[in-house]
Amino acid sequence: MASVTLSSVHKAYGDTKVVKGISLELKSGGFLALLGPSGCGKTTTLRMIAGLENVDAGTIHIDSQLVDGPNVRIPPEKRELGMVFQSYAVWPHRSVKENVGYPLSLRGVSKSDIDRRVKEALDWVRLAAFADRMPSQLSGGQLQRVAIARALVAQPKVLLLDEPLSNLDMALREELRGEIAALRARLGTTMIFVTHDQHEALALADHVAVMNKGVIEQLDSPRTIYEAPATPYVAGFVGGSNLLEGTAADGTFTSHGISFVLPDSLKTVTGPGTLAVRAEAMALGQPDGTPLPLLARLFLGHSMEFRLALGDQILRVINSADEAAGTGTLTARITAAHFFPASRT
Amino acid sequence: MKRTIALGAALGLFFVLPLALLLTRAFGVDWIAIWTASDNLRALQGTLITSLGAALFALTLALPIALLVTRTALPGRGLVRGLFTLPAALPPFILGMGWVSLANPKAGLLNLALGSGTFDIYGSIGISFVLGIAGLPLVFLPTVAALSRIDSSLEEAARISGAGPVRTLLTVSVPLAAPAALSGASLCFLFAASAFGVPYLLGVTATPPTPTLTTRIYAEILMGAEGLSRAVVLSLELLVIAAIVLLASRALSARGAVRLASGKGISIRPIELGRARWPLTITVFALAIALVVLPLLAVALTSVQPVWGQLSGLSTKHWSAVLANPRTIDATLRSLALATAAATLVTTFGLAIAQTKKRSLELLSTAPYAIPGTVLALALVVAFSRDVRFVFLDRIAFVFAVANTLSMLLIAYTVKHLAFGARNAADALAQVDTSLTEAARLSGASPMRAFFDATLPQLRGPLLAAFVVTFLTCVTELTLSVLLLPTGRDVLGTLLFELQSYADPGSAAVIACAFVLLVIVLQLTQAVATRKAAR
Ligand SMILES: Nc1ncnc2c1ncn2[C@@H]1O[C@H](COP(=O)(O)OP(=O)(O)OP(=O)(O)O)[C@@H](O)[C@H]1O
Ligand SMILES: [Mg+2]
Repeated sequence: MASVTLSSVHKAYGDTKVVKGISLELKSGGFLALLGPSGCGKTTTLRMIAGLENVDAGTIHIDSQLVDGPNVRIPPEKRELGMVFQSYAVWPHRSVKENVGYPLSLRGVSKSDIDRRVKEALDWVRLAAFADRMPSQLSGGQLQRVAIARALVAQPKVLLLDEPLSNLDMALREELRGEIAALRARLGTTMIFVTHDQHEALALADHVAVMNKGVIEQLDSPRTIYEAPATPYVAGFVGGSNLLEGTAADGTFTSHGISFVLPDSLKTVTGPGTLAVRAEAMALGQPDGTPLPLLARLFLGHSMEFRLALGDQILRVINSADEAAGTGTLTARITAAHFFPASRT
Repeated sequence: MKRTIALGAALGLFFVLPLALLLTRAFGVDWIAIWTASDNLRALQGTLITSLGAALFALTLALPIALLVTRTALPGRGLVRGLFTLPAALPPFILGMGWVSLANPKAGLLNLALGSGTFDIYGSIGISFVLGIAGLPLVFLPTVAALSRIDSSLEEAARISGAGPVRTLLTVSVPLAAPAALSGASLCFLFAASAFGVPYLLGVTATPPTPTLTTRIYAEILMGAEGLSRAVVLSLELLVIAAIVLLASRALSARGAVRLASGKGISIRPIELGRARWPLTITVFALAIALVVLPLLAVALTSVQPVWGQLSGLSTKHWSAVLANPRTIDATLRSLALATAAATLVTTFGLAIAQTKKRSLELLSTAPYAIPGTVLALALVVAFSRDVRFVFLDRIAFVFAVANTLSMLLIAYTVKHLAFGARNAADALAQVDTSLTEAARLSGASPMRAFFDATLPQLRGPLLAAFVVTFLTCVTELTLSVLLLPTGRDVLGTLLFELQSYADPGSAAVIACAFVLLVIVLQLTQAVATRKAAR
């Protein structure tokens, strides 16, 4: 267990700047999720913490030790970390037992201790019965469990996970998500978890860093991220909000020349800005709603999704009621929203 | 179906039947006595030692270099890869000539520079060394292929677990590529055991002579009818060795296939070499130049040395003598014609075999390549030493009068290299986009027309590659040519063999140089053509 500190870390591959000044502090025992769309630099950040890449500028500390920075490059094998890869990275030429025992054998642990600790680690991931199997005889979910046991067996200072669940199918993903949460509660290991799946990040972590194009847009608790997004980007990415550009005045918001009545909490905002409206935060078919052309209607099972035209933009509205009646146009009223005044830069 | 039967019959007549006849020749001969005769025991020992030496040498060299070019950020690794693949395009005999020019104890250039007798290329060490270089691509290429299918995360997982870069390579990358490397090494063993030209060049005149099974077989055949049955029994011994080695290689590469994923979605992040970067680069390039480039330069130098073994100015006398000699021109034209014919036959029949999609036929067509050339030649001699008559219904008679003709050599070239055509065509057919052919059919093309319009254009690259590689191999083919050529006629291979072994290394070097130039030109043309086709 250790804390992790990054201060204005930069990284470029050739001319493309991939990480542009990331700072964060994770306390010992904390669980941080790095959340963001594909290509935003999550993996690169994680790999720099692991020592698989080196920073161009800035510093990384694990506990109080400087592991990466100007003139300091501690290689990955000296950082005492554990890492779980998206592609499992279980060695196909070693049995489950040998895979899990490898980090211990490198640390000069005695044979009998290795056996005991490997068995213990396999128990954590409920694979004790598979100790002698070869990886080719395991399913994807089992392989990822082997990888988790291998990453945890030597009691790493920090466990790094790079989209460990994204190669698994839906059901397995939820099962393993639960197991990771349970393991964390049991071992208290500091963890950093990379994902592009907001549900995964919000469900597992106690801190979420939302990344966009190499910078952290917001670093907060999952609840704050969800309920009080700091930027339109976070609101769009995490809540799946509709982002409306326009102007607020006198309790209404006008976008693409069409006005909406603002909800009570936003009656006082004025000026140009972005209004973030969740798909669930719009009421349809209300008398004081704004009439909008209906483009499509999708049945989602537990609810319906409506696509409404707002100028050249498409508004997504999710509604539990079946508003089958309206054809052609539907009226929509905003029930809750976040307003981000345009910055004056 | 008709086509399958016809192709099978042709392979039966020119491959299975001769081998079967070879076997029957061994009946009633006391093979134990022949196998255990002291000369032959020494030949067996020579074969085993030189082949093992070649395989080990190729393995120790190929594995680290393959690791460097696939897993690390070695500067110039593409060029290194090309240099160590080069021997695959060169006849081993020419490499052997190069090393004779460099390390003949008296006349070799290295010995002239460093003092007489510093190096001696003759004998079993020299044979292992030259065959190891010539067979290097057999180990290097499959090892590179296996290493290229290892995702970097497997190595990174080891780094995070606490292993340094070297230990990571040794405990993760090497074990994963080991089956491919060992299977390649056993193929290199087979290649060396089958080799004839190099052991003849470097073994027969060594002191003491280093016989191998292939050179013993040749010596027995030269003795005529009486030697023939001994040659047959010895070639069966070679065949047994080949079978064992081939099975071992198969088993090894099958084991490797289970371990490595298909190439899809593999990402490789080369390991940085840090301070070892430049020392390693220099070492690797020095090795490539010393082992592959230097002997070729030595051949070039020999071709312009007025007197072999003396550094006394340069002269073009060998070039003008060789180029003006009607024998050379005659042999060159004959070789070019034979090689063109063989390459055409190999490509067409290879494609026909691949199109039947019959696994058994494909296997049968690749088998001759694994049979040592001496054995194949001997089998053809045994089968067709007299004209063969087939009589159907008492009326229609076929007479095969192929013994001692150029057609016999053409048949031998074609059968031996059919594997090139069949393999390339099968791989290419497997990748053909059948929807294009189907689209042609739906547009109204007949099956034949659709094949020519839609399928064949997609096969052009691989078929051209098969043609070129067969052509190049046949143009200076040595073993089959030496054993099957009718007396009084030459091809480039036999001419090279004769000039180098008996009298005139300078003239031999001229032919070798011309051939190396041909290789370079053809390979470049082919590379350009494939690149164009890919675009
Ligand atoms: N070795 C490299 N060389 C050059 N560019 C790279 C390299 N690795 C990553 N990149 C680029 O850096 C950017 C960020 O990559 P990174 O892998 O960190 O993204 P990510 O957030 O993990 O995305 P994903 O969700 O797709 O895994 C991408 O645009 C990627 O193309
Ligand atoms: Mg990633």
